[in-house]
Order: sequence, then structure tokens, then C-alpha cells
Amino acid sequence: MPLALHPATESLLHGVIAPAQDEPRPSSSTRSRCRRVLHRNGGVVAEVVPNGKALGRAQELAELYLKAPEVTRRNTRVHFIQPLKERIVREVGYGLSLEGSSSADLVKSMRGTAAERTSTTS
Amino acid sequence: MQPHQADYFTAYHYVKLTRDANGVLIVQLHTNGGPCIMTAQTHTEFVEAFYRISQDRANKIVILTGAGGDFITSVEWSSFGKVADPGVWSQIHDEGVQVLENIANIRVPVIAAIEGRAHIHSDYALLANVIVAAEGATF
Repeated sequence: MPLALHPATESLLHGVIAPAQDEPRPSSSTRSRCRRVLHRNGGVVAEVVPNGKALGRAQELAELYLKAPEVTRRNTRVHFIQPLKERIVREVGYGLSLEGSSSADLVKSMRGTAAERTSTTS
Repeated sequence: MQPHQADYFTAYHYVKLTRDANGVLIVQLHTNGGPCIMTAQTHTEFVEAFYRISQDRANKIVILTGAGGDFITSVEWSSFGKVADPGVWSQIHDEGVQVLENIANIRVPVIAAIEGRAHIHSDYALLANVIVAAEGATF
């Protein structure tokens, strides 16, 4: 039996181009082109919409995703967040340690600059 | 109280939570209803808010967004006190790790809807499955 994804699941998996309701569904060649573009750009922003329309579009996407079965939806999220979760556990504490000591150094250097300023003006 | 309203929905000063009958939860980060400014208080509050959101199976989809045409605009550093103090930084460190773990632990699709400035903690939005950005969004 060939495997076919429900359109809502497919759009969730790829994070792209679920068409707005008044637009025709993009052709498969358009979809693969978008995926390539997203892949090249790191896939950070899936869609750009006019100012003031982001939440409305997010709600449209939510409605689309709700057509997929619940466990599928949950497991799709679980699967795609897994690599990021692993990196969060490994790397965020380290990053925050660097940020902490850098912040302390910044405060110290500002204090030094303030002292210099005081000594030159007095 | 509406039947789909959970007890934690009204627990936060800087997180507005609204959920429709289909279980789509809108998480709006804000400061006094306007654009969100990071402070020591929001830093603490977001940790718990995302923890509760992640636990609540009545949330079927989560939409993360800002308020007043922005996501998070800036940081009020003075609210954190002496960041060079190890005790102060320890709290920032722990919350900083936990908030990301808690967002990553949301086990339903997360959609970020970004308007305007996402200049601080755009990493929250990066943990969404899909980011929808308005034309004027800057990161």
C-alpha cells in the first residue's frame, strides 16, 4: 500500500505553504521548490504575510492541522523537536555560563570606564 | 467561566492565554497589553507558563505571539539587579534553560505568529514548528 500523507500532516511536516483559503493549492512542483528554498535558508520563516495578518494566518494553519488525527499531530511535534531538545540540554547551560561571565565582565569594564571618567574630570 | 478555560489561564501578568473550543491556545506575551519588554518578572513567569501549557492535554495546538504589533522589543536590564552577582545570574541561568526546555516540551504543534520587532528572545519563536512572519517583522 503506497504511503500518502494527509495534506494537513504534510504541511505540518514540511512547515510550508499551506495555501491561504482563497488561494488554489500550489502544484507539487511549487511545493518542492518552496521546500528547497526553505531548506537553503534554514527554514526559519515559513511564510511572510502582510502586517497585522500573522495571527490570522496562524489560526488558519491551526485549523488545517486540526484535520490530522490527534496522536499524529502530537507525534509530529515530538519527532521534529527531538533534535533541538537534545541540543538545548547539551548547549544552553554552557551558553548561559558564557553569557553570565561576559555580563559580569561588561559590568566591571563599565565600572572601570566610569572611574576613569571621574578621575579625568576631577 | 467557560468550560475550556483552565485555572492557570489567569495566573500571569505578562502572558495572555485564550483557547477556543477546538483547543487552539493563543499565547500572547505582553507588557500591560502592549509590546512585551523582557524583565526579571517576565523571565520568571514564562518558565511556569510554558510548563503549564505543555502539561495541559486540552491544548491541541499552540500559537505563540506578541502584542501591540511586536513580539519582544527590548530588555529592561535594571529589573534584573546586579547581573554580575553569582546568585542573580544563577537564577537567570536556571530560568533561561528551563524556559527553552519547557517550550520544547510542548507536545502539540506550535505556530509562531510574529509581527514587528522580535529583537529579544526570538529563540522562543524558533522552537515553533512553523513561523508566520508579517512583512514588517525584524529579528
